[in-house]
Amino acid sequence: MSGEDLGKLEKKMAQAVALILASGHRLPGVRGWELRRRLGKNFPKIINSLDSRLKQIGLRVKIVPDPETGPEDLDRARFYIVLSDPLALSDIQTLGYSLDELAILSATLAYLLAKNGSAAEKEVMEMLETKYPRWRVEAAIERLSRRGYLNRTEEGVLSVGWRTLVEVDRQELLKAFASLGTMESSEKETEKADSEVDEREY
Amino acid sequence: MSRVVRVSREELMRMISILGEIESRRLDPFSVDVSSLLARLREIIERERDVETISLDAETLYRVSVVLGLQQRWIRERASSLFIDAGMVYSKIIGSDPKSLVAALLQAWRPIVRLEQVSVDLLLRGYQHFLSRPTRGSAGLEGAQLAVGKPGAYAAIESQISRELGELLAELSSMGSWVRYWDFINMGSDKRVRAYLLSYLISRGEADVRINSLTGEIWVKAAEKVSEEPRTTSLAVTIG
Repeated sequence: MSGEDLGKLEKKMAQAVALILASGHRLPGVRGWELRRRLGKNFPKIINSLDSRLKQIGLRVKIVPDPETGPEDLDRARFYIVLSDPLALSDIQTLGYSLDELAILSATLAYLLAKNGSAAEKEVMEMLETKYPRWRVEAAIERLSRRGYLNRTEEGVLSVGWRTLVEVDRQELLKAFASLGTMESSEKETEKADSEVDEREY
Repeated sequence: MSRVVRVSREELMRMISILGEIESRRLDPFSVDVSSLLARLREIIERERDVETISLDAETLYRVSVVLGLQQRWIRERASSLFIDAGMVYSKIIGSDPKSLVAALLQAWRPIVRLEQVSVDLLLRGYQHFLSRPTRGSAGLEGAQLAVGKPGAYAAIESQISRELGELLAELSSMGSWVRYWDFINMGSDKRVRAYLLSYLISRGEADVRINSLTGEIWVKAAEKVSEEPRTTSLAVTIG
């Protein structure tokens, strides 16, 4: 690739980042046809290059197909930039959510995903009330619904929202839940072993 | 209409309702036995062939096809969820502390990155767009000149409004007690101006308002003492 081509590609990638990150819509991300209009018909290649570049700084392009047209129709798909690596517990302070809110989100999403994405809101509330008071649960559910993680219907059904579909890997979450007890016990064992080593050293 | 036909139609409508519930409330699509439902549909359509029954039958068939689609999706999603059922997740939730639940979420969560402020590029584009806009007609210019060159004009308008407000307040005070809002507005020739000025008096605390929530009637009265407390509620009244 010549220097001129490289320059053009760089410029197009910068345009793509601006489009995806600073879209003026109510919802984040941008549709494929909007990228095509600004970047030309070769926009999937530009997005691929952008994805490789973003991975170097811990980000990646996520393409969410339109549920009606499927993954082949890139024009209708929505393009987002998401984090590529998992966050650490110490990072959550900067996200604007409390530990309790994220725990409620985690439990709710795992429960809904295990039930194929939706369940009666009453049932979910009852489950969450085993851990938190009702007012706390209601406030968290309301906030998470406004942010797009959950979807409430007038019929009293709670389902996963658009943001969950973009941000949360369903299989990863369920796998993490399946290994919750074992994960905790192995963590405790590691901690215990570490403390035993420390005691011996002293 | 024979009793048999009526019963068949009622049955079809009940089927439509149940199938619709499954779709709208996202219930388990396997809670309905599709094969026996189809067999029953066949029985009904073979027995009754009037237009209404046929159209209800078509509607039921459509609902059945939707539920079949839901069943297909259900199986696909169950397979992708590693056959981890809600009961198991429930027990994990009960037995875990909040920190562990968050740790599980963090393994699967990749938040969206989004810019939520104006960038220099956007500002420049906006500025260029502003410059490219044609200058508006002479009316706008005159308005601008009025603002800059004739400050006295505003003072005259302001004193006129103050005078009119004073007159309206005096009129309201002369009424003595509470008077119906619409009676008071309709006393003058220009209802809109009176309503507009009265809204100012109310906002400034120089007039009191009372609303009968049962009848919807609005009453106004000149305030005996101007309240210094900020008004925290607003009232919208449509002027015809």
